[in-house]
Amino acid sequence: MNKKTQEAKILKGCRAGKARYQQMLYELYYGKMFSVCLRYSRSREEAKDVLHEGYMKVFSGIGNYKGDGSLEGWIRRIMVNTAINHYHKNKKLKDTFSIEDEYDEVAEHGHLTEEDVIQQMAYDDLLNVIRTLPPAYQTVFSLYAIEGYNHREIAEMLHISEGTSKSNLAKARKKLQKQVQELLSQKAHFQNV
Amino acid sequence: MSREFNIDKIFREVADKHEEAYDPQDWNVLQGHLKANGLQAQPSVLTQVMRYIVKIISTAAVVYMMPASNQLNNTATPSAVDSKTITTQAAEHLTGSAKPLTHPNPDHLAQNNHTLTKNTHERKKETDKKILKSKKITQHKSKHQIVNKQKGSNVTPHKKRTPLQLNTPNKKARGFVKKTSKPLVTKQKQNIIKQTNINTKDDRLAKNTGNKNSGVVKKKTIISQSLYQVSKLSPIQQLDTLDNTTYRHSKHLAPHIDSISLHTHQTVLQAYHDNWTWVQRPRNTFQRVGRWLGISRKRRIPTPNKAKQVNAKFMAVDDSLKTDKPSKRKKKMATIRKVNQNKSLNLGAPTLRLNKLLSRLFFDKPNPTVAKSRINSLPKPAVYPIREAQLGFVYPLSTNGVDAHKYSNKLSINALIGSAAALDGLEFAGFGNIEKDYVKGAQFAGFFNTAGSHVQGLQAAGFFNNAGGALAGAQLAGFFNLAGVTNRSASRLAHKPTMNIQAAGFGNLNFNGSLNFQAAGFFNIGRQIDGFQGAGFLNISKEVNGFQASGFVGVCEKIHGAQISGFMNVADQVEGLQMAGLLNIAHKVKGSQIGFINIADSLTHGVPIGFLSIIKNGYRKFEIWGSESLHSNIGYKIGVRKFYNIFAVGAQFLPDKFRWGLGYGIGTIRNINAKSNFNFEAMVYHINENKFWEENLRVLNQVKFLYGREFSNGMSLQIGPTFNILVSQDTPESNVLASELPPYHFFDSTINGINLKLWGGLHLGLRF
Repeated sequence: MNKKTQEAKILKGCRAGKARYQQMLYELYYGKMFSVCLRYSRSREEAKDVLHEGYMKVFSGIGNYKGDGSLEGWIRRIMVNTAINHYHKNKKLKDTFSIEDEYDEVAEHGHLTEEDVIQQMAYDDLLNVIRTLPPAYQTVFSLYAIEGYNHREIAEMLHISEGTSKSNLAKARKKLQKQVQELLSQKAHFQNV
Repeated sequence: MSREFNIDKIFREVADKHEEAYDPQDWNVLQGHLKANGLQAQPSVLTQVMRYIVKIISTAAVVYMMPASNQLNNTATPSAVDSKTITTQAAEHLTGSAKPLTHPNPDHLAQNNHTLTKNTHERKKETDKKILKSKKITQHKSKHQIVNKQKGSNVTPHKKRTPLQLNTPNKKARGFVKKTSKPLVTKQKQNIIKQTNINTKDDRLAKNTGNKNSGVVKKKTIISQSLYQVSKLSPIQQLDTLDNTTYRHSKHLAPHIDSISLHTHQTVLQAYHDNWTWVQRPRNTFQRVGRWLGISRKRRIPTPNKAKQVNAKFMAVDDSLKTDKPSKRKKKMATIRKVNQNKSLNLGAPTLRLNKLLSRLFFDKPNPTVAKSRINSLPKPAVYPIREAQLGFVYPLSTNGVDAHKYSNKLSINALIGSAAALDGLEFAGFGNIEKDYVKGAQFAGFFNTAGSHVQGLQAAGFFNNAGGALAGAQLAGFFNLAGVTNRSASRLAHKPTMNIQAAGFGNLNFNGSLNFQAAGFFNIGRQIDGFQGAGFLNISKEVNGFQASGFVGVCEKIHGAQISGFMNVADQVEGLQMAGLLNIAHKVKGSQIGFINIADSLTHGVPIGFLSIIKNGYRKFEIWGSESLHSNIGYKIGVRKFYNIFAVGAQFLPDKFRWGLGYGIGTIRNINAKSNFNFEAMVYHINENKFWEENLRVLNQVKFLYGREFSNGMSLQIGPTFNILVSQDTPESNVLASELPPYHFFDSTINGINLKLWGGLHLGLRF
């Protein structure tokens, strides 16, 4: 209840364009939204650009938010859309850099479960891993696996066909699988030393 | 054996758990953007003034009331040579030997810190004894010398304030030595030199580790106070106190002492500026004042950190190219070159940028949400005194007289031209009506009606109507209607109107709000249509929900419904039907396109019906096939899977004869499962025998029922029966009565020189 009234207060202030409430809203969702933006970008600076562009949209369109659905979800959607726009804008530039896959043999990890992996991995590791993918794979994977969009929506957002989306996802998974195992083997190595 | 993880789950959970740490610096950046775009309300003047005052006071307090602003802060330094010589000479005096006690160059000192401290420690005892013997003399001499040196170098250290500059450890140390050497005895100086040595090292350590801000002020006050107290005492007392306190606790004090040299007046100011995101130092008093008041220009020079980041971005490509292996580098360069080549090739391809064009036409802001927020904050419309009735001839000759344009009328009847501020009722005029502001009600005129702002109600005129702002109601004119063209700012109405109509004999223009019905003899330009838009020649609109019909050309950005034109249609997004006599062009179609030629980037949920359909992400295949009559064929199939066009060429090779055919057809594919499909195709060939082009009738009609097997690389194999009908005319000049294309047939009849043959055949083809 307290949270809701606070949110309503912030919304009211933001609609009036008051700096204090805007800052409150900004701080409230900064962490989550920044981590969303990081997933769709190649660097921290780029992510910050996306974040700020997204927040500009949030503040300019706060009047359109009618209160149905959670505020966080609404903002998150805006952020994702902004990131996709950003992706389209930079597509040409990004496509010039292709990443050759040169992975070494991965050590054996037969006994690990997913929970173990989740515990071991930090968000920075995740970002590092995910950024080794080509931008298209990165975006498709983030949209599908983390944000939970389906292939049709992704295809529409990225102006690609559903088949492309599916194949991108499969390839991204394959690469990430390798990368994660490599990462874990490295970690295990360090821990042993 | 390496185990497969559920990668999705791992990443989702890690991502869900994570939250980035908040960086308050970012808010300042965003706030700048917000202010620039007018998304943040300005605080009232009073609060602004209050903020300035608080800012000035707090700045002044921070800068000048800091306890650090004692003598230590005036760090005017004579030239390096001076301080060096002074130090060495003083040291020589002390020890009475030619060897300098300490090396005068602090940089060097810092490096040899350990050995030096040892040295000084050992020599301290010796010097102590000597000093006790020749205390006064050394004092006098050293003081005398220092004064002389200062005179020689023409520097007055106390009064001159240094300009802001970066404190290198070198300068700091020098300044410190110089300063303290005056009130204190040389012995004391020696100690302090030693301390500064430690300091410089500590400075570096602090800089390296990056934690120099914490608790600085407190430490500084303590140290400076203690030093200040010391300097008040007599020389001998000073010696003792320093020996007892500073020196004895030098270990303890070492980390504190660094703050003395580090945090002078300037650095405090610097730190303060850093906290307020002022990174570039002000160059003169005016700039500084501007900073305080917050009216100075935004800084242009990026901070070193930022510059580094930007630089790194640009250098990343370069570096990657440099560090890579030669083979890899070649590959990368090749890809870059390839992209560049493709770019130049793509130049010729036309790209549809309809939304940009239309936005320019309707003067839309690139970011519509921003524009909306501005509209919402518009002031409310003015209120005018209302007159019940008005009668008049032309403007000054009326019951309202000269002030007619100040009143709003409920009923107004004018013989020729009526003029008023606004209308809240009914108005008639023989020639025209002029309202400065809004119209609420109905206006009738023989020739024209014009309102400065929005119109709620009806405007009817023989020639033209003009509503400056938005239209809510109807505009009927013999020739021309305008709405929302002349006065763009007054756009929003208080409530959504139910029905908006524009009808004119020649043209309609509506740049504001939406319309339900727009009809004109020649052209329509409407921003948003929720209903019908019809014109004899041209229709342009940004969004249509309903039906757009034009005699020649229809242009629209978004269509939900149908767009029908006599000649061509252009749209960005279509949901529904796009139909034209010749050409349909669209970016994204959800539905069908019907026309002679259809062009779209993507088409879903429908079919493009026409002679040629070019769908960018549709179905495009070559097929090579053979059949019993035309032995070898090559064809191109273009469209979507549900409906595609076929262009084909086929030939029959016989020992004595050569026949070839030019064909066109349509086809459809229905999937049986993922790998196999069913194909239905209908084709028409024109057959030429033994010559390039046959003028007589020779038409081969084919219906094919094919089974297709698809392979993973996009190829597919087609096989199935065909049913053929050949209609041919007698050609007596070449001694052929009728075509004998088919090797066999089960029906053959000739009526009036027209031969009909029916037979069944086989099709075997490969698509790629």
